[in-house]
This record gives sequence, structure tokens and C-alpha cells, in this order.
Amino acid sequence: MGNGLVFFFQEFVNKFLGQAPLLMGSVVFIGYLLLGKKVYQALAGFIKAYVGFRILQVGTGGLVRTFAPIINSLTSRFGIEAFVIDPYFGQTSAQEVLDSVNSLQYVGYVMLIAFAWNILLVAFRKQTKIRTLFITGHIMYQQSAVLLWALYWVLEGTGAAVTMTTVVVTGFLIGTYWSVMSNLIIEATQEVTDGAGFTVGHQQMFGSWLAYKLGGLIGNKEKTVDNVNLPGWLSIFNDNIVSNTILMTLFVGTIMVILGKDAFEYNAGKYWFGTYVFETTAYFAVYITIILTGVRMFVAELTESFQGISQKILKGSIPAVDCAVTFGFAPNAPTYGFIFGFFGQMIAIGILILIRSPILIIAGFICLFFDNGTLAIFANKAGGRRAAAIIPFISGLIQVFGSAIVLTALKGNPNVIGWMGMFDWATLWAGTTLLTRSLGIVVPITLIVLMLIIPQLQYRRHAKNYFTTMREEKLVKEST
Amino acid sequence: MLKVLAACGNGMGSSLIIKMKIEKVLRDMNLQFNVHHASVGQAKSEANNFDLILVSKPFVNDFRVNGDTKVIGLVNLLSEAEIREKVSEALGL
Repeated sequence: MGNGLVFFFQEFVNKFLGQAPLLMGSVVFIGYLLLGKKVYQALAGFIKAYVGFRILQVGTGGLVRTFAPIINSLTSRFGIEAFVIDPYFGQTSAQEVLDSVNSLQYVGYVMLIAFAWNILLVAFRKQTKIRTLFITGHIMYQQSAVLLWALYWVLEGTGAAVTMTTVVVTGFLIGTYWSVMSNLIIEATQEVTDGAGFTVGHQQMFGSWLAYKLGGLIGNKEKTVDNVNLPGWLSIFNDNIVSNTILMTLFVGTIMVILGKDAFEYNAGKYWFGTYVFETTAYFAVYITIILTGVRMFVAELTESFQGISQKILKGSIPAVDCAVTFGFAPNAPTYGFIFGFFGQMIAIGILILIRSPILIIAGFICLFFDNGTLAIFANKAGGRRAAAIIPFISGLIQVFGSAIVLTALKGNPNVIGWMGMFDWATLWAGTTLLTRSLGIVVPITLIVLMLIIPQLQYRRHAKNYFTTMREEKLVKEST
Repeated sequence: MLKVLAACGNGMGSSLIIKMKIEKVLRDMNLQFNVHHASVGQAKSEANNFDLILVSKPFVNDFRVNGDTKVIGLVNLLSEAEIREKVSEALGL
């Protein structure tokens, strides 16, 4: 009897929780029941999460299939490899690599450990000084996947499934990052939004904090981007489908043209080479749209149950939300970040080509628009338009070089087509991945401890209104 | 039944936040409603099928709507007060 139960439990873990889409569906199902929703509502949530996850997998598979032949051809001709630094290309690499070693479901475990750890840190905020709860669902999933892939690859990379130690350490590490960095950026976000009472929970929280601190040193906050008229045609980039298609046609299309028509097997009776190039590169936009549709479906369910749970057990915590929530507070800044970040990335890519780097980087829309856009928002608040131009430009350089360096450690698997080029991932996480490769699992464990010191230092700076208005600048002004 | 579409750059994060907030506001206003969320790129194509479009302020000019569709630009996506005020004004309540 006892053995039967153990057997059933093992089977359940392997054949049910071991399937990533079923696991995601179950998380939503249980979350909804905990929120007191009806069983049929929880069941609908289960189905939406399951179907959404399956749609996402159609997109990631398609993206790899479209990109791989172009890269293979580039590698065999010139001995270089190209990678896209868009988060969905990073996520695709993570998912496909982890799926190939039967470990995709562990991304769900990582995310749950991290979320629970974040809740615990906020629950004990008197001691931990953590005020913020991360509820940006798509980012939570994406970061859990990418970090698990990166740490698995440098620590194990054996072809066997990810070990529990790596899963647990990744969970605590990413949970600490969510808690500490979203907490670090509260004061600056309060200034940017004039006390709107939320913080940013995204991919460039450390970067935004730097942008805010450095922005004040290199510019004048009175001369903001709001007084600038930007050309109207730039607004076509607000459309993600148009942006993805244009950027991919520009970059991947150039690579395809350089490789020449003989490098591809296509039906010359049906296409000109030019239309074949466009139809191939436009497929990136098709698959990214499929990925977004899938993620949107399962994350909407996930976020709702996460938020519900957090509201029930953590009254008074500050929500850490998507970076674009800040965009309404300085509408011109994201465009500034996009333009100057684009120049930075182009120069960096040019340098990679000039020094004959074995790794070529291809720019991605999300990294350009959202990452540098957010840095521009924070830089503009502290240092006006001068800061909102210079900081995204430098960030563009860092995004390309940092991603190229970390990819030297992560390439070598046919499923790898990119890395998340966002600021924190091109700096903090690229560094962590490389250090972990040389020194082992002691690096992520030490990092957890080191990051937890940061909120203690913040608290010391303005203990009086740390938990109330969360505004450091005001205090300085009043006391002087 | 009020048909509402929340949109943002990629249709992932901010639009979901708008969706959760507008649902709460409309529930408090005792209205019947149905809220979807999407990226600006997708939302533009189907804007005219909705009564209300809610976006972050920078995206307002991306929408060309006709008929009764109203586009609302928000500054603070998390502010129920701002959403309530702008929605009431758009609906003439």
C-alpha cells in the first residue's frame, strides 16, 4: 500500500508535474482555488494556461527552425556565429535547450521558489527591509528560464536533466534579484512618477538605478525631453509587428544577401531572391507574435492568481510592475532611448565586425525600445535630455558587448539563437554566468547573500521615511 | 455590454495592468463589460470593434478610430482614480 502510494506519487511527479504545460496549468488552477474562485473558473484558467503554453512552444520551435539554417550557413562560410539579443530569442534558447534535456518543467519550480522567497522576504520586511513584490508574470517566467539555462549550461551542461541543487539555487538567486533590485529602484521610481506608489519589476532595474544616479552628474534635469519635437515617422516603431519585421529584414536580410542565393535552398520558380529574403525574415515577426500570444494567454492567468495571492497575504507591499508603466510620465523619453541606444548598438556591432569577432550580435526590438527607453526615463528625470541621450548610447554599447561575451560561454548547443540583451542581463547576469563557469556554484550562493545587504544600506540612508513616503530626495531637500 | 481593449507596446505587461485596473473600476461602476489586452500593433487593426481603447499616453496618436470608439490615454496606469475619471468622461456619465 505504502509502496503503491510512493509509486503513484513518483508517476505523478514525472508524468504530470514533469510536463511544463500541465505544471503551469496546475499552478493557475491551485492559485484560483486559493483565491476562492469557483472550480469551473479555475478549470478555465487551467485550460487557458495550458493552451497558452503550447502556443508559446509552437513559436519558440518555429523561431529556432527559421534561424538555424541561416546561422549554420554563416558559420560554415565565415566561421562566425550570429545571435539575436532580444529577450524572446533568449527565452527561446532557454526553453529549447532545457526541453532537450527534459527539464523545461523546472522553470516552473524556479519561478515558484523565487516567488515564495520574495513573499517571505516581504513578510519579514522589518528585518529584511524588502518592500516590493514582483508581479510582472512574463518577466518572471522569462528570467527563470534564461537563468536556469545559463547556470545549468555552465555548471552541468551534461545532456542529463538539470539537478535539483541547480534548480533550488537558481530559484533563490532570481527571487533575491527580484526582491532586492525592485526595492533598490523604488525611490527613483517615486521621483519619476511623482509618488505613484509602485516600482519597476523588469529587466533593467539595476541599470535604471545607475541611469538615475549618473544622470544627475551629466546633465541638467530642467532641460527635459518633453520640450523636444520628435519626427512623426518614428511612431511606426510603436507597432511591435512592424518594428520586428523592419529590424529583422534589415539585419538578418543583410546577412542572407551577403551569404548569397546559392547558400539557400529555395524554389526559384516561386520567389525572387529578394522576396525570399523578406518572406524568411518576416517569419521572425510571425513567430514572435505567436510567442507573445501564447505568453500573453498563460501569463494573464498566472499574474492574476499571483496578484490575488499577494493581495491576500501581503497588504501594504509595493507592486513591482512592467517598465513600460513609467512611459506615460515622460512620453518622449522612450523614443530618445530607442534612437541613441540604436546608435550605441550599431557602433558596437560595427566594432565586433571590425575586430573579426567569432560572435556577431543582431539587435532586437524589445531590447532597443523597452530597455533603453526605460533607462532614458530615469536618466531624463535626473539629468534631462543630455543624460537621456548619453546613457542609452553607452547602454547600447554595453548590451552588445556584454551579450557577446556571455555567449562565448553559452554557445555550442544548436538550440541557442540568442541571449537576453537587456542591461542587467548584459552586465550583472553575464558576469554571474561567467564567474560561475570558472568558480562554480559558490558564486550564485555568495551573490544571494551580497544582494541581501543592499536593502540594509538603503534603509540606513533614510530610515525615517523608508516605509512611508519612500522618497529620499524630499528628505534631503527639507533638511538642507 | 461595454467592449474594452487595453493596449501597450508589446501587449504583455502594462496592458495587463490596465486590464486588471479597468475591470475593477468598471465593476465598481456597476457596468457590464468585457476587457481584452493586446499589443499596439495588434490593437490598431481591431480598434473599431471596441467601445473603449485604453493605452499609455504616448500611444494615443497611433490610433485612428471612427464611429463611437473612444481612445483614452493614461499617465498613471495604476491609478484607479485617473481611470475612473477618464472613463466616466468618455462615456458621458
